[in-house]
Amino acid sequence: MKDSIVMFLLFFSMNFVYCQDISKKDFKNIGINYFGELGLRPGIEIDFGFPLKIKENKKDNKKKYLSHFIYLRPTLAYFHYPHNSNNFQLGFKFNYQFKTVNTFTNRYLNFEPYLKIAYLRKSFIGEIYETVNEDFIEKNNAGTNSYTLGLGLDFGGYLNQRIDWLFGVEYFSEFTSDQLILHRFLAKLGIRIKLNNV
Amino acid sequence: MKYLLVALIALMLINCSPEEIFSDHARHDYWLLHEGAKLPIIVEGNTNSMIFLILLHGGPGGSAQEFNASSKAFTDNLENDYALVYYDQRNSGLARGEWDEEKLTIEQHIEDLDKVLELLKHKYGADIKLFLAGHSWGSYLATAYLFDATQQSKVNSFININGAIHRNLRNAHNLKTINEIADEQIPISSNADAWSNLKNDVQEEIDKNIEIYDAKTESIPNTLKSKASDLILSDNLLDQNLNGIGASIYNDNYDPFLMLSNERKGTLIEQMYLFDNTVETSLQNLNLPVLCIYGKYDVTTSLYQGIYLQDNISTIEADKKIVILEKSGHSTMKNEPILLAEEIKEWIENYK
Repeated sequence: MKDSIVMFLLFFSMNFVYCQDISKKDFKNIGINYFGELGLRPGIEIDFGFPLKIKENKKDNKKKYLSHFIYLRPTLAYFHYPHNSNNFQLGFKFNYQFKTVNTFTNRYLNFEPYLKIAYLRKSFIGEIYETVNEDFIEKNNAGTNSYTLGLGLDFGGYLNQRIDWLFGVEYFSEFTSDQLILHRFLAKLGIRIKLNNV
Repeated sequence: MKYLLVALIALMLINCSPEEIFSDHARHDYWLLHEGAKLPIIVEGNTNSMIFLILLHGGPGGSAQEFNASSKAFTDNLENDYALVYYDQRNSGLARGEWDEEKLTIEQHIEDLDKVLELLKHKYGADIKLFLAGHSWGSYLATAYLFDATQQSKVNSFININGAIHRNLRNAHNLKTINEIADEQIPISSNADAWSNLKNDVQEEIDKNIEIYDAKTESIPNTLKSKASDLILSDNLLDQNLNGIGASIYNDNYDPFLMLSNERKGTLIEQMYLFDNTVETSLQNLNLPVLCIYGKYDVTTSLYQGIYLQDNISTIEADKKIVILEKSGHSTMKNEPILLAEEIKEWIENYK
């Protein structure tokens, strides 16, 4: 099950990375943000934004116009439970971005709901022992695998020609091998680096 | 730059130094993989004392982190003198692994607990002293564990905190306690009418003369218990000493949403009713020192459960004690954490 999920994610990552319409390359970006469960459990997320669809409602002589983007964002996140586990999450986000652009200053604000599907590996921290007959053997590593479904909301805007700011919240359900559905709430704060000056 | 490099190397050395296994303020984290379960075990406190107090959580389906989450005044107090062992049972709390209904049995929980105790001896030495403490369902599990003489010999003493002992009798015991509290409160409480109504409902239930409850029919006494708990809170009969739950979320990974969203009891409640026969015939196997601590206003597992335990074990009178905490309900560690810790300390000092 774990292998098939990883294969699925890799296959679609490769497809989406290399099969982009070249005319949309200008809107590609890299996001780097703090990714803290319940706000303060520390973590970091890196994602890549690939525009799948762009629609700009640009009209002459208007101060502001609205753009719509659909982004695919492959994402890799890490978050830490003190003394308990290191958690690695690999997956995709589908972001619908509304962008209000000021024609005169070229400044903008983003409002971006998204859906997320991912694979989560929980790697245990601490000494790990397994019972074998009447004895214990120490193991170097152990953990659990699960998949997650989530949704979130990002806000962002122009910081400078190269960087946008980002603030967001995310919820995801973690479906574990022991049939638990765990609820995770996260806060995000970070930047998006535009790969081209747009 | 030079200073930065020195600081970085120093930091790396600190992080790489092996953790002291015996220390006044130890914190050791273990995972025990056993029969499909991945059980987190945290040893925290004074391991130099060589005295380990294992806290079995309630539920079924709770988390040992509740003890830290509810009251650091209780746990920190004990950790100064002893090593506390927080262990999440299979399919509970932070435990992970397979979901296997067939392994969610009282017998499997007993086997898991035995492996936890063996692991402690494996890590800290065969000469450590083990005190087994349980809260609510945790005491039920501890009692069942101690029925076996070999297992009992591994433990210095049993500390029963608000423990459930006999599932069927628990219902009658709770109703009796609710009646007594109602008698006390009716003349003095501003909720006198509600107490009177509750007393009538309790009497009605008692008059049915139900001798054997089961997992379904216990819902009526459970509803009466909930009403009594609400009135007890409304009458301010309990002390509340909660520490900030935030500290537990960030330091101990306590997961409040896990407790709300996942009831991992499986068929354990049904099994407890079936296990009552074993309890009745095996309690006499217990001959180790037993301390029982109950809240006066505990209507979830009433004081009479503790009395039942004390009356039916073979322990000599001098090694049995019941303590009633006057401003506590079912969660004595939330209500009177310092008194509870002091009672436990006094007991351990006598039997270490």
